[in-house]
Amino acid sequence: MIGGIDVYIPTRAGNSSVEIAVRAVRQIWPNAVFENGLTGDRYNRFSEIPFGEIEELFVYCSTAAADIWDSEGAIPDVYNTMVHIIADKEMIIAVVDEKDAAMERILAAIRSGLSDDILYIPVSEAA
Amino acid sequence: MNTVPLTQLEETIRQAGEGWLIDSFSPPEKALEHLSRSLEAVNRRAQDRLGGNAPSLSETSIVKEFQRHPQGVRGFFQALGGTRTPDMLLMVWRIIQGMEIKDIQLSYRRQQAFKMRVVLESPYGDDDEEYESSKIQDFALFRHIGILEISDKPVFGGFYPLKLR
Repeated sequence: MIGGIDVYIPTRAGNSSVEIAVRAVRQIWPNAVFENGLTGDRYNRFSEIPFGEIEELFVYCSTAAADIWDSEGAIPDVYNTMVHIIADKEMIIAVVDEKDAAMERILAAIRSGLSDDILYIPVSEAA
Repeated sequence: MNTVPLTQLEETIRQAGEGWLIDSFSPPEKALEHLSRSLEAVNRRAQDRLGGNAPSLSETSIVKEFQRHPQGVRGFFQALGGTRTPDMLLMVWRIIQGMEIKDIQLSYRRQQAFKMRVVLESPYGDDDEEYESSKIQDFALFRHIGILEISDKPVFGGFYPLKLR
């Protein structure tokens, strides 16, 4: 994506942050497909995503959208049909074309999932 | 039948940072045998319930899956240390694989009864799957489930490892 908008979302989710973000996007795009941002490998199913090695992931709203992105790039027809998720230290960067209402809903879902701190407070401190 | 030497499972558990599963078992030298038996029970249950659609929960598959999705397998190891219900462990694995939590029903009466029923939904059009338990210890599995809101509506999603230290 060239010229996208970077949205910085702080998180304490650590190594689970990409998965949490992907699951949040998938709530709104149930037919999403995925692509490794570094290798270009396509994952048609969530269970195929190698979360252990993913640093960047493209989440497309559908196979059709992914195909167009792959063949024609960022043309207007596919604006806001993909979210580029980048894992950074204590941060997820979501890169989107435009922050319209539909995309804001997706970003809010990601923020909501990543703010679920209860999983990341050490049990010994919580006790 | 195990095709992986027990040491490989142990190595994976320790690499995941969940060595307590072995060290806190009494006696520790029996831990891997116990864990192997638990995995076999889950694997059998998966085959019985899901047939050709069943995920493989063999030791080999879990060791391999750890390379792909270490956080998911860490969560599964923690569940393995916390529940003895094969159906619940299968449920956990299915959530890790990407099944959505469609419905949860919980009933509890002090010193009388506990029951939880979880329905999972496939995002790929497969049949819903129902999981039930009457063991109160299985309530602890909910601690691992992610929480979010979509336009103020509730969503439980994902099964994550707890930070144990």
